[in-house]
Amino acid sequence: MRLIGHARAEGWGFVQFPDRIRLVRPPYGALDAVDVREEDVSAAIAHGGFEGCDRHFGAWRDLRSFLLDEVRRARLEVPGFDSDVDHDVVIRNAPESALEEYIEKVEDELIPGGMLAEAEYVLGRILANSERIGTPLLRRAAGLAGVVSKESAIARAQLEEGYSQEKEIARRFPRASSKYSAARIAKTSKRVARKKQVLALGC
Amino acid sequence: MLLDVFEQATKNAAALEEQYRAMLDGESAQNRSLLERFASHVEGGCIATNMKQMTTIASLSLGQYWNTYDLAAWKSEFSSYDERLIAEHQLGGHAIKRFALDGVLAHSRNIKYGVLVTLSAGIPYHGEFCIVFDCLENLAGKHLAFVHGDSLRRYVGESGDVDAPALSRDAATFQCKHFLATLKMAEDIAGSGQTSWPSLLTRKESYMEALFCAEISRHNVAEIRVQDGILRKWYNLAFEDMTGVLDEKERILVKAFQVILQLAEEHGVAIRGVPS
Repeated sequence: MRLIGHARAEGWGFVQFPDRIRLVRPPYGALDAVDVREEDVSAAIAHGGFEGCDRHFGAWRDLRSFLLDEVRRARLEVPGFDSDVDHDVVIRNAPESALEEYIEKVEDELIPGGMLAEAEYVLGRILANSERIGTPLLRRAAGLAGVVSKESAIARAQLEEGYSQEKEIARRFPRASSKYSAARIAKTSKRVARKKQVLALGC
Repeated sequence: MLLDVFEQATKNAAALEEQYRAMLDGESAQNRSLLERFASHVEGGCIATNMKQMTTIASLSLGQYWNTYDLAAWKSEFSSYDERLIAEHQLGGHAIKRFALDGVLAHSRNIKYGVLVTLSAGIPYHGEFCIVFDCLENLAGKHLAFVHGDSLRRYVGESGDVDAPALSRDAATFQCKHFLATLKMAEDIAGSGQTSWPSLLTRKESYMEALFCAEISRHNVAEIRVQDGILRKWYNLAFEDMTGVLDEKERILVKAFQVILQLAEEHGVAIRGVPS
C-alpha cells in the first residue's frame, strides 16, 4: 500500500491500494476509513490541509505507526501540548450513553479480568464528577465500587497470606529454600501430605 | 466587473422561486408533496463548518473563524513573507483556482465558507467536528449566499477559468436556499426517506455551500455536532487511556479530544452526538 497524502497533525492519510484509494483516520478502525476518488485527494492536498507524499508500506501496522508518529511530532510542536489526559474533563462531558458503556466495561471486562486498580480508577473518576451524572448511573457505579473494594480486599489478603506462607517456609526449611522457590516447596509439601509419605520421595 | 454573489443572490430570488414552482407543477401529486416537504426541511437549516481535531482546538482557543487570507495575514505578522505569498503556500496546488475565483468575486478577501445543515453533523469527510453557527444569517445580513456544491470544483476549471455565469445563476439568498437545494437535489430526493434528508443534504459530493462575510467569534457557535459513531469511538479511546492500555502516540489523540471537550466546556458550547 502507498501513502499518497496526509494531514500530519491530524493523522489523516490517503492510502492507495491496488483497487482503490481510502482515507484513513485515527484511531484507524475499520469504520474510520472512507473510499475516495483521485480528485478528492488532489482537492485535499490543494486546500484541505494535506501534504502530498509517496511512501510504500508493506504492512498496515507500519503505516499506522508512521501516521501516529507524525501526529505525535506535529502536536508536540504546539506549545503546552503533551500527552497527559485529564480524565475528569472526559467524564464530566461524557453523555450518559458513554458512561453507561464505561460502567458495563468495568463490570464485564475489568473486574472479571482482575484489573481491579483500573476499575477502581474509572469508578473513582465517575463518582468524583457526580454533579452532572444521573442517579441510576451513580448508584451502579457506587455498587460496583463496593464490589471492587471487596475483591481488592480479598486479593490483598491472598497476597499477604502468600507472603506469610513464604516466610514460614523459609524459617522451617532453610536449606530447601536456598535451592527452591517457596511456591515449589509448598506444592511438594502438599503432594507429600496427600500421599501420606514422610519424605518427599517421588513427589 | 466583479461579480457580487450576494447581490446576485438577491436578484435571483424571484426567478429561483419561479423555477421551483414550475418544477413542482410538472410533478405528480405524490412527488410534489415529497419535494415540498424536503424544501420545508431545508428551510429550517443553518450554517456550519467541519473541522478536524487540531483546527477545532485552534478555533475554540483563538475564538475566531478565519478564511485563508485572515490566516495568512496573521502569519505574516511573524514572517518576512507577505500575505499573498503565505496564502499561496497555504493553498498549495489549488492556489490557481482560489485566486482565479477570488479574482472575479467582489468581497473575496472577506468571504468565508460554510455548509448548510439541518440535523446532521455536516460533512465529516472534511472534519469530524461540525461547528454549528447560531443565526449566522442575522450576523451576515445581505452578505450571505448559497451555491450548489464546492464552488472551487464546480465553477472553476483546472486552468483557472471561472464559469461566472453559472455561479451567478446558482446564487441563492438565505430565504431561497430551500428552492435551490430542492431544484439541485430533486432526483436524489425521489427515492429517499425523510430520515435520510439531513445526510442527503450534506454528502461530500453534493452539498449546499454557504458564502458569507461576517466576523464570527466563539459566541456565535451554537453547538458542536459529532456523528454518534465517531463520538463513541473517541470516548472508547479515552476509556482505554484510563485503563492504561494506550501508548504515548495514541494518548496524544485522546489528549486532543480532551482539550476540545475542555474548551467547549469553558465557552459553554455543547458537544452533541447526532445520528449518522
